[in-house]
Amino acid sequence: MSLSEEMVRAIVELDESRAIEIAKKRLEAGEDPLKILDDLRRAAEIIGEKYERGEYFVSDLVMAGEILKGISEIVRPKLKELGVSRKVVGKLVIGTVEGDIHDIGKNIVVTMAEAAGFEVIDLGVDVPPQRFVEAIKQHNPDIVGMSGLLTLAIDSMKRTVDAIKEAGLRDKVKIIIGGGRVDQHACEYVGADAWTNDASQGIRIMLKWMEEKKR
Amino acid sequence: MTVDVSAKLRERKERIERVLTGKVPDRVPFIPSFHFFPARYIGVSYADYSSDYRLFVKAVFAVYRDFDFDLAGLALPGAGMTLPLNFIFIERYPDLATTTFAIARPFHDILRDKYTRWPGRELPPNVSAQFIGGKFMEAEEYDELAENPIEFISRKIIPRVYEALRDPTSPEAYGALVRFGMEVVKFSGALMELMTKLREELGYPTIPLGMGYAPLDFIADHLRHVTYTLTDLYRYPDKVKRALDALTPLIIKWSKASVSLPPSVLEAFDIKIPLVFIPLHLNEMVSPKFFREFYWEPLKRVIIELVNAGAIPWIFFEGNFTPFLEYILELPKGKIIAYFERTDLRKAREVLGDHVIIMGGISPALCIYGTPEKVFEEACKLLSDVKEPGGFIFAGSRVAGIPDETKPENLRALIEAVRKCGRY
Repeated sequence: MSLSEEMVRAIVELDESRAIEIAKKRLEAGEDPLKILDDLRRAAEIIGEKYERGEYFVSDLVMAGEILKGISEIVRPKLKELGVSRKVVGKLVIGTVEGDIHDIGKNIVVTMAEAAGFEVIDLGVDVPPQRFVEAIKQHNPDIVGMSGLLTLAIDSMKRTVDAIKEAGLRDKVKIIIGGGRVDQHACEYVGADAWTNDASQGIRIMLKWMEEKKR
Repeated sequence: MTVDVSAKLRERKERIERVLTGKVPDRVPFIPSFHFFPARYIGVSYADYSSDYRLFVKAVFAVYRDFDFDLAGLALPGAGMTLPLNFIFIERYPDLATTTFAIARPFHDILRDKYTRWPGRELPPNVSAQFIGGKFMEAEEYDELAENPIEFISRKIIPRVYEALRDPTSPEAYGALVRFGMEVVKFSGALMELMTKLREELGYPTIPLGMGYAPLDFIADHLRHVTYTLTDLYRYPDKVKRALDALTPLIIKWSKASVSLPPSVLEAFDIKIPLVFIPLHLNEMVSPKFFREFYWEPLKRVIIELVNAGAIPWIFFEGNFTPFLEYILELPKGKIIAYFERTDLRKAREVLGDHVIIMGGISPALCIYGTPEKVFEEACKLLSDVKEPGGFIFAGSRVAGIPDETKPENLRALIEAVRKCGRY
């Protein structure tokens, strides 16, 4: 088995020390850091599939996120040193909406989206509609992700979508909402393009949007 | 008490007692729980509702007066913040361990805890109080926690969590504790007044209510933060295990104490079967690799001890528990209320049959934004699908009760649905 395959396997099996050890070994051997990042994407994809099939659970996603983050942190200085950057599949602006300060779910999405190759602009928690609008103007993202755990978040999501409409930016972005109390009813009310309770399904939806956009 | 009120009291008591003892009632009982809905209903700010007990009592009373339910469920003007304090009292002052029930903003002002955020303080005046938790312990400290949980929580966790107690021998800390005690008396007085008014004026039966907690949730919510607790399972399983072994007996003792009432006190309640509310948190998150050993077994010990003590654990399964439903069959039959959030209730009925009393409701988004017709229709569909063969309690919605933003006409539609479609 190649080191690349071995690393992917260690990540998927959530064997943190082994995965990090292999990543270090590969960098020391002078391997292209972009290839390592590409393996992170592959590992995240497999983990996502396992989650959707019900084989993996939130704790597995959180642990996988820690490993992915750990390896990216080792790889990043090397990228800088070589002056290369990774091809971005799309740009995501994400935040927990106004009034809500929960971020565990959002953080899982951020890590998974980065591993999948998205450039992620994380606005943090309790983000007012206007800050989403400003971030869209400033970063010109493909996708806006809105997260929230509380029921009040649903109303904040709607106000955010309305503000995006008012600013004339609605056609420029796809909008996905996520969180424990979000469902089809909430999605229709908010006027989002998609909803999910599931980080990896969310990533899949976003990747599909990026595919469609390319066509 | 008027004749009408006492007739209502008898009718509700009978309905609740039947469902709790495995008999089929005349119809499905509706037990709501409230967070900030009553504040909106009478038009006061969340900030005032969570800090002025008089307004809190007035608002909750108005809701139970204007809407016809079967039992007063939880009505919380905020989020809890005192569990570490409760636990340290369990050996020396068991009465304090169970009576310091503090879910209102003045407690946050006094203790300056880092667990919670409040309307009119860290949050705008009409945003609900939120429990955020945090990381108050390092992984290296698990051994110390396991060695002596009460000592460790007293000496290390409490000064880190409560700003006012950060220097326990300071004048500020002594003062905060005295004020805290005084506030507990005020708050318990308000709760008592509310219960009495609901009974005497509106005919809602009284029932003893205690609290329980899943040991791993205690670590996640109060000591290590959810994210770190989950990764600790992979990184330091043995340490977590030892800590759970040390914490579980403490939690059992505490939650049993919350429902061990002297006969004379129990006699004063209309319904003499204590409920123990156990809100679960990590239940849907923990991988099956760890679920049994780290989450389920310690929790099961708590549940079984409570059942043996004659109480009915009323367990709120947060999130989607569908993949783990079979585990519930391990619990004593007919002795548990399984209150589900996003678990598929139809599937729950299929898997669990009449093994437990199932509790749940419809989509929160629908309660908030749907039309009364649609709410009625969905609630009726749910009731018809899951009420048989008995042992079902309607909760309204799924977010631990009635979502704050629920339209009053939709709450009416829910009540209508129970009346029309909840009959046996």
